[in-house]
Amino acid sequence: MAEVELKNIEKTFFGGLVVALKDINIKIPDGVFATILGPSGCGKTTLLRVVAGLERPDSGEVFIKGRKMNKVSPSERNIAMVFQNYALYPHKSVFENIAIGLKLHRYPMYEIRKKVEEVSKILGIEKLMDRYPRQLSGGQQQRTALARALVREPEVFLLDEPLSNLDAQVRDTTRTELKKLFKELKATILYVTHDQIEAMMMSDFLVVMNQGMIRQSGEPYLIYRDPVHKFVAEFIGPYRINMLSGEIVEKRFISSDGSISIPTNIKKHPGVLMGIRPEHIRFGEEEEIFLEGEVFLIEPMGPNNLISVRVRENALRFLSQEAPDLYKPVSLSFSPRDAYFFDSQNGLRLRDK
Amino acid sequence: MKRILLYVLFILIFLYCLFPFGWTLITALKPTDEVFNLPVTYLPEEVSFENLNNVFYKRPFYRYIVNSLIVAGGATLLTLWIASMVAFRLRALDYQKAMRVQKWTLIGTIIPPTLLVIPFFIIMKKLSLTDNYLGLILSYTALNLPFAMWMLHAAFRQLPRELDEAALIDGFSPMGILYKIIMPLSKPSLSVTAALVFIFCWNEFILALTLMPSETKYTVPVGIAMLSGTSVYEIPWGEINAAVALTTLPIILILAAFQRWIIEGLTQGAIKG
Repeated sequence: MAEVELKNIEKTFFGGLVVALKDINIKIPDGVFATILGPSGCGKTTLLRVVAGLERPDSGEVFIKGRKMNKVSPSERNIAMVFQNYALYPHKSVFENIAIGLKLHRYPMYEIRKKVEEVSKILGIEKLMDRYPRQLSGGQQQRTALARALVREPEVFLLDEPLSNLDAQVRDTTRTELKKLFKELKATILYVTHDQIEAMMMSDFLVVMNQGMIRQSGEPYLIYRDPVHKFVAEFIGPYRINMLSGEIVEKRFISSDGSISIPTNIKKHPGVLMGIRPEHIRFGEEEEIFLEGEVFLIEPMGPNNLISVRVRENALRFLSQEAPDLYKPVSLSFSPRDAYFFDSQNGLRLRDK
Repeated sequence: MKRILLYVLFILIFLYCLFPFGWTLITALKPTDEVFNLPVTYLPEEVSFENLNNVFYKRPFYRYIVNSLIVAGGATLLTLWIASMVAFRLRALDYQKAMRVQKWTLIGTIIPPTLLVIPFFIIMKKLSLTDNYLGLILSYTALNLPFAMWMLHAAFRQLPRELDEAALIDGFSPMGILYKIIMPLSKPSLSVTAALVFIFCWNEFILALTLMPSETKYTVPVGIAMLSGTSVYEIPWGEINAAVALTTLPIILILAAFQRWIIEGLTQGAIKG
């Protein structure tokens, strides 16, 4: 129904002292579940607020469904937003909280009743209609906030870390429910989170942000497999990627302590970081590149163990179902195809060309 | 034992505080001769409504009360209305900027009201607002605005900004946000402010005396001060006390009515932490 497009958005705070958004250019396709992911303070919430119209960009244009929205008020943009702290009206009952948007848009009362009833049934809060927000649990408040957004049937949903105030167990079930719920809607969803697992699990489209800039956007799996920036490689992925410094000389990467040497198609480059994901390293000598090291830490994760191995001056973490003895020499291997190379100065990916 | 001592102490303090009002009430209920009796009789030997009757029927005292209610009520409403709008706007600014404005308003409270009597009189004279309720209402509003702005600004700032934004997306107008969201949620602070402003206006003497020269426009404090006997040498203590007792009553009623919210408002900061 609605495509969201941002063109050359810039936004600064405190008279230019803090740059919140820089050179934001992105087109979020119609009807996708798009997640804006980044560490705290990266500008992701500001980006959402710019789309909502709660924040005016210093320059640049906001388009929703092809229509320029810069001067359109938030209530006219056909959006709905769920705030991190839910922002329910404390002095209004659950019913009034959900119905108020419709009331202000002058819907007839019987229609409001009907719509509120429908939405509250979907979310399972139909028995709480007379309660006040303070009488609700965190999960129920969150559902009420969602209901308030859903009932307006907007073309774009904006969700600002809606799960971050829930405890771990409720969050897990709510995440699944949310994904199911939004699958059935035709609306475009912009979902802000700092939790990369949440982002990977929920979204069709991922936007990774850092320091006010979009580092990479696209399908989550592609971003995981093919990060274009050191930051993206470090941020995306269930376990923190191993980064080794070194340089590329004569089509070989050699780590700074000389322990690792990998062939590559890049001719030469000084100051290189090599990234290899823990899930791509294996025990034994199964892959092309193998290393010798000493186990110094084992972190059990249930089905797998996260094993830290010292290889000369570097520490590598990898994932294995086996639990080797501590302080014993082991051999590891990985495929050079799984290694990424980044410029250590600007963090950009070095390609084989 | 310690508890009992504590309660005894509380009761003593309570009686000590209550004594002036009690004395006023007792004197008001004494017949005129007994007021001047020596030795003093603490409890009236016979209860008489003579003084109350005199205040109400021989003098236009109900008129003074109505005047006071109009002026104090009007000034309180106007003050709260203007202060709410200012505080709402200040809340939208970042804290540093808002405080820069607020510091200037604070200067308004440093100037003693007595100093402003003559300027106010000159202004109201020029506007032909002397002997007019509006003149006094405007003066009281001017005097109370800084205080009310500080109170309400602090109160509004405690509400999360997301409430406004949610309301904006829901389709409220800015004034709608103030009236339907911010003000209902600030009832405790609004009540405290209203009560304090009202009491100030109810008790104010010198401006009322200056700006309202004709007898039909006297407010209660002026009316009480103007009570006099048949000769210069007679001071009608009985009637004065009756008048004072009567005029303290509305204040007590207001405080009682808003008690819950006033306590909530005064302790708000402490509980929220």
